[in-house]
Amino acid sequence: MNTTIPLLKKEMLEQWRTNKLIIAFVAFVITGLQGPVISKILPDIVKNAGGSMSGMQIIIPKQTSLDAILSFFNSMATMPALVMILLAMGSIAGERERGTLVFMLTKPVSRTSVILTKYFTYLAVVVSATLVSALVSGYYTILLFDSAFQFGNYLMLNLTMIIFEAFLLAIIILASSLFKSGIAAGGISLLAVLVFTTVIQFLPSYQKYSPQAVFDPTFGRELMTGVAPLSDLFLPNLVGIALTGLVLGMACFASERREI
Amino acid sequence: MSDAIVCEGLTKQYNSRVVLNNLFLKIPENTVFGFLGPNGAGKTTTMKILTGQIKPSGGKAHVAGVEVKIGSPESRRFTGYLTETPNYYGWMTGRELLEWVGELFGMTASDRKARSKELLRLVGIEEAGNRKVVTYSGGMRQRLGIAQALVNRPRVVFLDEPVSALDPVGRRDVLLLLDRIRQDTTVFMSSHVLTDVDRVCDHVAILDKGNLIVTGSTSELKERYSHPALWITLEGGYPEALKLAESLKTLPEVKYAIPDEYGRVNLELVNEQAVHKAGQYIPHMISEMNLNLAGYQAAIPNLEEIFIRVVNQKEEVKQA
Repeated sequence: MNTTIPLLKKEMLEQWRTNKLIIAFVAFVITGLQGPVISKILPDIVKNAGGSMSGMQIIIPKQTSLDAILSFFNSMATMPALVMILLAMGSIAGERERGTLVFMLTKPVSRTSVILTKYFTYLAVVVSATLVSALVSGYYTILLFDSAFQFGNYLMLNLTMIIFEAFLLAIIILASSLFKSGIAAGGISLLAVLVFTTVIQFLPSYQKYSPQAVFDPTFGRELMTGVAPLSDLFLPNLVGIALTGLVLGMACFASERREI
Repeated sequence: MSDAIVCEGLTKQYNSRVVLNNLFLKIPENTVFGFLGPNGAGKTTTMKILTGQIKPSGGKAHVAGVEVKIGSPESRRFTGYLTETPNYYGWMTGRELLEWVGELFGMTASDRKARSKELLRLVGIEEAGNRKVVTYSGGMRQRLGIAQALVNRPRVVFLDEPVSALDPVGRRDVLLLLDRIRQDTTVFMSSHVLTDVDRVCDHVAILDKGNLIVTGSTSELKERYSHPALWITLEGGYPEALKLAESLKTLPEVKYAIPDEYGRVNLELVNEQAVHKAGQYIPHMISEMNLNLAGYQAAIPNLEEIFIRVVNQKEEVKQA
């Protein structure tokens, strides 16, 4: 008996009817738009604030499309992570709290398929929201700046960012499967992300293997300008996919053994 | 008749606290089985084990011929389950929820549509079928819960307090429904409303502090726990009953005689032999007292009396 299709249908419908889909798209697009818009208006902001900073001279170099792109990745490093935690922290813990998990798991469905359908539904939402955000940001970068940028490289960096988001989502799903409360799952997810980010920062030699490397402005600039080859993204992508698989496997393993 | 549910030494322990102790139980197919016990007796724990929600610390269980294992969906293909506090996706309508459950059981689109319509009618919420579940009252959610437990025409259905949130009419409807489905389904239900269990269950088990105290068919238990007592009803009211009770109390074989306002005397005698003898002289005695006999029957204990007696007996044995 294949229960994957009905489980996926339910998850998709839930995303739509509980407005999670819209929230994700709006939050991601607004965050993505900050890149080109802030880069464009930053010189004007500094110029207008000049009067209140007498004696100081701040020189802002002319902003280019590359600055806008790097600013986009910088914005996407934090806000979408928080939105993902808020949206997905109750995916399993919330159902456990409300009692709907018992209803679902006393039907002939495997716990692994419940975890995986939830994960892939959230992933589909996050990937599409990220892609729309990247396209909108890219469009406004072209619109607001004269200089061109390597669109292929931009897409590849977005792909690595999506892999990082997939890893983050796996952590949230794992936390949600382990804890009884959505708030606890959200808190632990946030803590896990902070620990992961901090540890990587203290290990600069390993930083280039992490999918988070995409948020490093120096590395990003090198990749966007062709100084570093795109093949440098292979290892971070591979590590990201492997970590995602590992965390997701842990979530399925724990869920199969856990009492409801 | 084969057994729908078999428990072989089921035990559940949380650290040193034993919540279910070595439960052996065999429940024949197509019976309505009442699972009784005070709060904390281990009823819900047993149901959770039998529906694969929690793992037993010891023993094993078979439901519909399949061994129950945590995480394995195999036995759940043949079962339905209603939790004590039913809660469903508020953003779905009642009809959508039932159709979705049908989909999980691999039913075809036309079959699940027809089945959901049939069940909504059976549980009396047909008109609310297209409303979102979030707008349902507690009673409606319980009716929906019973409907979702029956979507797959289960061989065994587990109902944890199925009538707790229902009004008297709702309770009657649900009990009638349970009585009707027993032809195809074994019903395993827990309830604190013992009059309801008495009405609908043909087999019961009483659990206390994780231990099975007594099990058997309802009629068997009533016979086993019947005591040498009689209900004598007179024409008239309390004065007539009092008059007879006072006379009966003087007899050495009478333990007590209590009159009530409906003209009834509840009489307990010292033993069964005394009950047989009473049949010979009490009608005569009534006639001599110029009273009119309207009814004379052996007192049959109801399930509530049996429940209180077995639970109290266990306490007394412990204290002794």
